Amino acid sequence: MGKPSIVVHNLIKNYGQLRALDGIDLEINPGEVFGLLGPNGSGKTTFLRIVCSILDYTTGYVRVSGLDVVKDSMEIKKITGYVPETPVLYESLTPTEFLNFIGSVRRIEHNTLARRIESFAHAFEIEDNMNTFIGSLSFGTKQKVAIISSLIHDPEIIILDEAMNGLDPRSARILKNLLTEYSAQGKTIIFSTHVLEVAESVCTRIAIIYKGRIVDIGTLAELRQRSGSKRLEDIFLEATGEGDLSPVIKSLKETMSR
Amino acid sequence: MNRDIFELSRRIVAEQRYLALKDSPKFQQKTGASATQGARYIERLIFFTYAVTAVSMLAFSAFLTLTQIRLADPLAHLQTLSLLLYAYIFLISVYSFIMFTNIVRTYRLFEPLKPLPTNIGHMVLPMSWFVFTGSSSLFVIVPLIAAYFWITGDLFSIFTGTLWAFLMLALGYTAGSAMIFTLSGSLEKRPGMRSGSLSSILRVAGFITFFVLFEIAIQIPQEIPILPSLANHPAYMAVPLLGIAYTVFGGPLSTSYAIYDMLITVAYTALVVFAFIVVNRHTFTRITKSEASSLTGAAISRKKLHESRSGFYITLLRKDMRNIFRKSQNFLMMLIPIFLVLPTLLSLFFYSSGISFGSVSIYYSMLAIVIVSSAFYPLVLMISEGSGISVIQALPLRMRDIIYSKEYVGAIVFATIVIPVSVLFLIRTRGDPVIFLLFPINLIISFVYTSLFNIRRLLLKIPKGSTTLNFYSFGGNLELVILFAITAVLTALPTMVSTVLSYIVVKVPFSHPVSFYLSTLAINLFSLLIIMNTVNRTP
Repeated sequence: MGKPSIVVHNLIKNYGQLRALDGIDLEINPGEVFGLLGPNGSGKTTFLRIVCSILDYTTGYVRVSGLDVVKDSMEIKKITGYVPETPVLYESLTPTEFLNFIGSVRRIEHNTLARRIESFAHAFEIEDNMNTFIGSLSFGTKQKVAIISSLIHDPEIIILDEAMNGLDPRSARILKNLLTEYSAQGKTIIFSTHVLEVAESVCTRIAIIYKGRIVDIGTLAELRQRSGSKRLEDIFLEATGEGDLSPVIKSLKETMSR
Repeated sequence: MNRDIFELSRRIVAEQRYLALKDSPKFQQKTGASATQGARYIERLIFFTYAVTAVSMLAFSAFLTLTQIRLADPLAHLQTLSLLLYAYIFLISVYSFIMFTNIVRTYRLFEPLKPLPTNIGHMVLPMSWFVFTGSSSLFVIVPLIAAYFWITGDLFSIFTGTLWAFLMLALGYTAGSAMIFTLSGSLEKRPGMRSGSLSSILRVAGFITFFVLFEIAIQIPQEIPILPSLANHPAYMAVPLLGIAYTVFGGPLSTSYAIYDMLITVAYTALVVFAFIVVNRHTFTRITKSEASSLTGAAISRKKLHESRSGFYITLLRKDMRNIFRKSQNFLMMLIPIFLVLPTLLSLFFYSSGISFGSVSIYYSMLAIVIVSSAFYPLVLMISEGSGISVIQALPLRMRDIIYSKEYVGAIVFATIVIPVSVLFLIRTRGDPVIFLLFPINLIISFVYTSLFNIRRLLLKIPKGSTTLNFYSFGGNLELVILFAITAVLTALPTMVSTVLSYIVVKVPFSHPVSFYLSTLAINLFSLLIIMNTVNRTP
């Protein structure tokens, strides 16, 4: 294994008095599909946005491909592709116009860009929507456009925040296969998800993040071994201290029957 | 029900402020992790911005009123001032309502109401705008009414004066609504650049004509053929706006005139209320229509999967042009300077003394459009990004790339307005061919360097990691006033220096306009170089 492509040391991020990340330490190697699991509000999105150099951190150390996320922001944005939690796109553009805009800003050669757009549009079956305003597309189609826009420049580092949200099974499968392919090419992939089956089938290593801290990290086999459980769902709930949910269900039932 | 309407109105305004502030470190620092503290901070901020606007309106009007009552025949001067102040309420309410609804539409603030079994939304919109934003402009007439009462002791004028102020506000709301309704319908039915169709152009031209007539009626009513013949006739009192000066501030009235005044006021109230009811529901439907249904679902072209080869800045420019001209809420904001300034300039055509110095005098007047556009367009160009700011932040774009791309859009729109208007004025003043060239070039360069400065200023205010942008992200009206002040200084300085220089050289600068324009051009170019140098040093 070569040098890690992402190195994070004692990363802290505060939003005012709220601590979103509380001393994250991790290294991610080239060729890894690194899964980030955690309940809502655990700090996953904040972490991913810092790695993409979209957000500044409070203290700590974060290097991506040897570059500093604060000082070398432009260089990092050139080599990363980021899919946000909800697809944020220009709704008054069409997917063709949006992807051409992204490709042009990323200085992709014209013919290469045209070829890639065609190929991705075909793979995700959105050719018929390519010249319709993004604002009028379904959530899933918008998500596909967002995914294509993050992959179109063939980035070294791919960061996906809940990217499977809204995708139909075929597109989800294509994305999973693509990630596996990219990983084989030595690209680094960080993947945050709530869908534990996806994490199980795609990720080579998983970190469980809870209240801004990594509470467990390792390959799926390592996590299973440590917890003694076979299912990732049980490992996740145990690590986040939410193992026994029956009191919550009982309380809900009582409230609704009153 | 009324309580629900009020609470929802407050929620809409709070939501606007929250979206503007949520990513700013200052807001995060002040509110910490507490939602209660956050809510309190936003409440305070809403109150503070309202109070600042109201106090500045009071101060502005008090200054004008005090200067008028010190003159001989103060009643006549107050009468003239009343025209300006009531027109001001009308124009400010048009502008403020368009800005207000821009945020409502961009962030779909009424969307959570849609699944609920309630239909109070159409009342929430006017209530929210009126209580928390629009009504602050009413304070502008307080010193005027107080001064009038102090001089005449006429209690009746307090009542009618206040009622007319409310009417002007409602009229502004209705006119703003009509613009949104008419222009949105025209723009959003058609995909692509076909939005600039004949129908859209005619609708825009229709609104410009309305505002031109409005300006002429205020400033030079004698130019409207029917009005001079009506002077001193009771019918004159029935002319909208002019009626305010004659009925409310026309000096002590006889009983019969007071009754007549009352009848006219009641008639106008009924008319404005009727217009408000008719327009409001339609506007609400239009404003709350989701993006999915307002933008056509039909494909613009079937086969096109890639666009023609274009340079880096052209790509950014094309994106901004599409983002502005395809979304009526953005396009309307671009039209505001045209609606507010162009009519004043066009009314100069009818105002002969306004062009007594030939083109130089017109040039000075045209600087008004430079100031308004340079203050306004940078703000509009940034606001139009909306949540697209997160797309921009994830791309390898330098700040200066964004500054220049926004500048190109602004300059194109500005040139499109200024060149034909300049030609029109120059034909009227029979300027020589050199002036035909120098006049608009100077105006465009003035616009370019002042707006470059302003765009840079606004861009530096956006915190890293921002996910949304709206009018209040930059400070709302307060920031707009600051931008106006900066632009006024930056625009005026070169012109002043040039006037002094041409005076030193030719003694009577206006008699030799070419030397004035040449020296202005030199100083403008120098200013442009300095500001471009500052922009180029931006990371």
